[in-house]
Amino acid sequence: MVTDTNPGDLEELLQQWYAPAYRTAALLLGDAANVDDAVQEAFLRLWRFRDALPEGDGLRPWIYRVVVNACYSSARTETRHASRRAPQDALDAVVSSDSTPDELADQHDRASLVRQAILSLPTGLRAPLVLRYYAGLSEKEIATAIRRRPGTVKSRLHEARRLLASDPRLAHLGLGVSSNGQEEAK
Amino acid sequence: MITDAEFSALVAEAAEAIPAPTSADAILAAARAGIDPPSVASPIAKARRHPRGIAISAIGAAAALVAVIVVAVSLSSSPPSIAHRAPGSPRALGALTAGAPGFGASQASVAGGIPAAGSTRTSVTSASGTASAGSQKIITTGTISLVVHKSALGHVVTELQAIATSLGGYVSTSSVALAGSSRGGTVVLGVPAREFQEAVREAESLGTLKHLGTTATNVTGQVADLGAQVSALEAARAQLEALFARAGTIQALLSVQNEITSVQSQIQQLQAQQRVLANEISFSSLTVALAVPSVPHTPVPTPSRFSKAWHQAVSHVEGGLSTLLADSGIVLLSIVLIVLIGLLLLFGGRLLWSFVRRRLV
Repeated sequence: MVTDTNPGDLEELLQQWYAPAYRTAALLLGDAANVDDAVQEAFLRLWRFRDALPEGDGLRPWIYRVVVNACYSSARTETRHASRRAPQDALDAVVSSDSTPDELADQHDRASLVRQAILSLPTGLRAPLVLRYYAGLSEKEIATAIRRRPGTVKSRLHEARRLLASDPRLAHLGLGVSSNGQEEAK
Repeated sequence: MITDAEFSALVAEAAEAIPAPTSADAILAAARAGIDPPSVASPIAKARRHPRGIAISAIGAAAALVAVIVVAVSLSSSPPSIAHRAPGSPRALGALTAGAPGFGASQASVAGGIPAAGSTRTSVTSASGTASAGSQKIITTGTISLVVHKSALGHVVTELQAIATSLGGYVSTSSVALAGSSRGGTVVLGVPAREFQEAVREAESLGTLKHLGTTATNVTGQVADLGAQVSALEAARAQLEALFARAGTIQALLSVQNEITSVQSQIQQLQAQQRVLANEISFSSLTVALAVPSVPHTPVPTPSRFSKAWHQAVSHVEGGLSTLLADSGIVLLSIVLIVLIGLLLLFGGRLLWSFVRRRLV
């Protein structure tokens, strides 16, 4: 679990936050190259505006906010480039649900399936879910990070869980997430 | 049914399976070396970074070139050296300390105008040989040796402190023994350069002057060199700060930050040297060595020939006896014992013979 700190030093900032930021970006974007780009951009932004970084409890949502924004920017850039290559959304392109759950189970382990299920969510739902279940932010902190009202965050989390509950990959694993916020076995 | 915590663990498991560089050292090494973390950078990212890296390198090289040129220009523009003989009067010291022209890479010994018992020496040297007329930077130091009466030693030390304070200076160090067999010591004064002559004059009046020496070192070139180096480094730092604001990658950010730290450190070192030099120029150092008069020897009367012979004879007899006793101590002891025993036997025999003869009679 990462801890809060005052990022007065770039190396300290990198040491503490690079790995969680990278994994958050990977869960949001999926594409490794985009992830690398987004994380670099996030840390450059963080460092340039380090004087404005809050201290204490406010730091963590702030850092994730910068990471999420960098991911959105990277996704938009990639979408523009990808649209020239193929008429397909870059975020959706990284995940394919065409395969049956049985085939997927043969090819991937559980972690991979969970990741694919998350990546299959719409972009607007993915960030609250990742920030809630990976970064461990509260709904209020997520609201700060994605600049939405707590009520919006709550409804998006609800919708994300509902979609995951119906995702065949999680169903194949015997896991399901109920639409009312409680997980249930299927 | 799974709980929120279990789902969090599942998501964390999925995240941990992503090959992010977990070691901080690996992250930094990758960032510094320009090697992408385990994932592969996209062609877009590479294309975006590559020209920027080249631009940063080019601007960095330009900044270094500018710094070198600035230093070179400033060094080459230093004024040519002009050498003069120091004026033939000790009072010219005032002119030296005031930074007036009239000396350069020369050294002169000056005698006269000072109490006959004392020796005076004035040295003028140029540190870099780049001195010129006007706005000279001179470091002046002096040494005075005074002989003072032992009862006045404490008073003289106090007076020296008062001189320094009254002239706007300070006592740098003071090490004087006021009692005991080795009375005396040294007091080092720091006085404003313009008051150096006055300090010398007042200090030498406190006792009998045995030696007076002053040295004036021209450090104009050194000051100019330091100033040029600081200016060049500050220009380089400004360039680096501009680069820092435009750095496109963490690698560039780190390397530029390291450069800024290094340049900043160099600037601080040079500025510290500037401060030391400025202090040495502003405040002249005057070392006053204090000594008390040496105690005169009591004349020893010359012995007469007879007395000398008598003392020699007595000395020889004493020496002979000592040697004899030392060499034949056991033999003499034995002889003494034998004599004593013999005497005892003699007197005992005579007493016994008298007694026997009375009985027989």
